[in-house]
Amino acid sequence: MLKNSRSTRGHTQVVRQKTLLNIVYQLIAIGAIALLVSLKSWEWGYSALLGGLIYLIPYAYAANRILIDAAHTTAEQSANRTLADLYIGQIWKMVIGALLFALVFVLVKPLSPFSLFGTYIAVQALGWYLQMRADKRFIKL
Amino acid sequence: MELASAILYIAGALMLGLGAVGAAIGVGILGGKFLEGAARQPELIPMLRTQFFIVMGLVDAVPMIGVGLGMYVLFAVA
Repeated sequence: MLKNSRSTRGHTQVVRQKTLLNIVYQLIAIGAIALLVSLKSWEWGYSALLGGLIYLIPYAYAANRILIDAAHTTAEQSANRTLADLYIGQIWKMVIGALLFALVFVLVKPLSPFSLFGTYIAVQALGWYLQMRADKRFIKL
Repeated sequence: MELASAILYIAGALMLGLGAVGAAIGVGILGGKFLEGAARQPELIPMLRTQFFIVMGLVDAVPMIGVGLGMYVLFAVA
């Protein structure tokens, strides 16, 4: 039991490190995309930057909250409480995401929707790819 | 003009609503599977927790794009 608990804790540490690395890669990708499309126009550049950040800020918040709490989770903690924590983290992620979308669309004008959503989807797809590359076992799920 | 903006509001609401339905089904199934796994092997709860986070990223991706498009239609187009 103790051995299992240690191995799961180690697993959580590894996932945290991989997730942090993924976030750094995604941040670099956002910067690169924004720079690249800003060659076309300044509007496209900041729209791409905003699109990437709208994805990355809630993701980083949820990762921080869920994975840091996971390091302190014990096997004795009830599954119901853990699930409630996970759902609360996820709800906050969605709320922050929706709020950022609304703020950007209300406050930032002019805006290029193609650049914004294109970067949002590209960074998300990059996140999936990095996740699968980091954990090959995950593909077999 | 008013009919066009009314249709846009309906389109935005449909995008947000259908996205919410999809996310709710996915997250519900995921939570149920998490509880099943935790009931079978409680010592694996920390590992299941991280797996839950990874899969949740996949489940909520498309609904969040729908939410974004819905917000765009509601706030920027309509």
